Amino acid sequence: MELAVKVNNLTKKFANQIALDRVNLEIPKNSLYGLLGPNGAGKTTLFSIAAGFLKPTEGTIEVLGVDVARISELRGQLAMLPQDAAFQGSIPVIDQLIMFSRLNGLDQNAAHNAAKDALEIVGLPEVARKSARTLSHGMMKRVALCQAFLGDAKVIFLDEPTAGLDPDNARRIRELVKEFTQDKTVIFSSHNLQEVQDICDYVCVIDKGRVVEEGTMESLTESTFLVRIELVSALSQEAHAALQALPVVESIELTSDTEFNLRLNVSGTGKDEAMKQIYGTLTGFEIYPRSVFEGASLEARFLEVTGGTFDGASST
Amino acid sequence: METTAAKVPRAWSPQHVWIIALYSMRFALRTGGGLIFLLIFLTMGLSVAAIFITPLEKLVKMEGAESMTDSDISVTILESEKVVEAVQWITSSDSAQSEYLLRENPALLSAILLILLIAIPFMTCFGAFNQTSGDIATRGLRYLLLRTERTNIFLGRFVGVMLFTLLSAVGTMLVIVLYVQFKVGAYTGAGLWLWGFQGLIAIFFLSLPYTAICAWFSCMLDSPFGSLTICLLFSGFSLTLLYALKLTLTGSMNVDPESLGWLFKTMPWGWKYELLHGSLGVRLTAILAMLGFTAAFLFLGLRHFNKRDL
Repeated sequence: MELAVKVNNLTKKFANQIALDRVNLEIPKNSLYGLLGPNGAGKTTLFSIAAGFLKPTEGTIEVLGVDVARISELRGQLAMLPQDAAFQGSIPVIDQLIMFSRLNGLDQNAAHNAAKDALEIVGLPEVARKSARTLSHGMMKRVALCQAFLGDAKVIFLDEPTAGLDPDNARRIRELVKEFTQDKTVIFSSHNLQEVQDICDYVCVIDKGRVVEEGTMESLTESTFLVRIELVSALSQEAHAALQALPVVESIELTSDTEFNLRLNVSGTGKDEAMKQIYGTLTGFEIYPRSVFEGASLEARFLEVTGGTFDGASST
Repeated sequence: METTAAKVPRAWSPQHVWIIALYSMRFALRTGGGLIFLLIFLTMGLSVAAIFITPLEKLVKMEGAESMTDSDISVTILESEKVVEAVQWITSSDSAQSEYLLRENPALLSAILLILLIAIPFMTCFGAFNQTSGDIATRGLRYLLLRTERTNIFLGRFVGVMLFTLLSAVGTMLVIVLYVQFKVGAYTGAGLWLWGFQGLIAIFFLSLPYTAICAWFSCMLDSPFGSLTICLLFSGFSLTLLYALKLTLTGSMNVDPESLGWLFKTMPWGWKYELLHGSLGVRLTAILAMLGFTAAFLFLGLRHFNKRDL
């Protein structure tokens, strides 16, 4: 397997705080790689070192075989959507995109065309002459994304590209990312676990500056499954014991008399069979669910490795 | 597992420096910061000119002056012995240099240039303080960092500011020279324009090291306001420090003031009037000194910019 990015023993310290602690990663070429972690886990720091914004305290990152300390050799091959970098507020968007394209090696006319095309791709040709400060948050995010798609970068880092966007804009960006990853490696960080599970091939979970889980999406999600059940009546002691006795149930967390969370191990049975056993047990005690929320498998795994609690899940 | 090496070598690029310089000039004009600097430059230049020109214009209108032309009055006053002595004191030079400034060249323009050169280190700060600090604060530099070397960004911004300063200086000098020639009518011909051009060169070379200092401070601080404050303080404080040191040495330690000429040469400030010297050798030495200071400040700034987190 060819690698697009290789992180070797990377450490970054800010004053007395360790943002990244001996991180090692191998990101395959032409993959869509999800980077997960709670706030302050070190995701943005990792991206920033990869792009040359920050200097590592120790360790290296290689992108396409080139140490990012020599980032100039990666010109045109590495692109990034930085999380909170601002465009110049009072300058027309297209002028800034043209400058970026010119630095990518295009002449004025080609740079102008590339900038126009990039704005078309993100569905914002009408904002070309507008200054950045007149754009909404969602538009600005898409403009920032379009600068990452200028040129023909082979490795693209997207730092929380859908953060703060409404569902429609977030969906547009996900579709764009999928479209553009035919021959590119995209490293994608997000707080939206379902989003990462839906589009990424590989996933890495970082917590407190350390890699706590890494692998293919299948390997991380095939075994664990999280479900929240709300009942019409209270869960009896007997029903609780019966559920606990089921081989697929790893743990039960009661959140109220009529609501509880189940962590299921579905590696042997599969998700559907596991749910059939749960329903069967409950109806055997004449207890009927008012609603069932299935948490993303990735979410269950994420919470498991980061020690979080299940306080939200996607409705089914 | 194997990695695929990317073979697109790229190092320091004059082309990138030029692109960044041009766009930073354009962006400075559009964001208003550049316009404010241009206005400050023009206002300062014209104010200094007005200080000298207005009294001359009044004298021309006084009784008894009917028999003299505007030019005669201007030249008579500015070339008087008292003025020669004053210029000698200001420039810490010999009488030959004062006569070069006042009698061999258009005296009115010389007087304006002498004052303007005092103001240049401070005026430069207003155009150069925000070379990188604002974009470091907003992280806007990150879009450039993905596409070019830090060195290109740092030097590009510096060159952009210098070009803008040069344009501002050209505009200011053009207005002053035209005013002196047509409104006051004190001097005409190629001599005035040549002296104006030499003044422009002096302004340009004096602003170089101060712009380089600002480039250094600008990349050290994430706040444009902080950067402006430090740049202005440095320009003023370093002079105060040198004068205080000179006073201390001559006062309490009885050091001969004549032997302390070197003290001010440790800063670009000490070389400014050599840029208008009558001797070509002295002028070239002053230009070399300015280039040396510029290179040193740029080196220090670049070293910091290349090491810091952005």
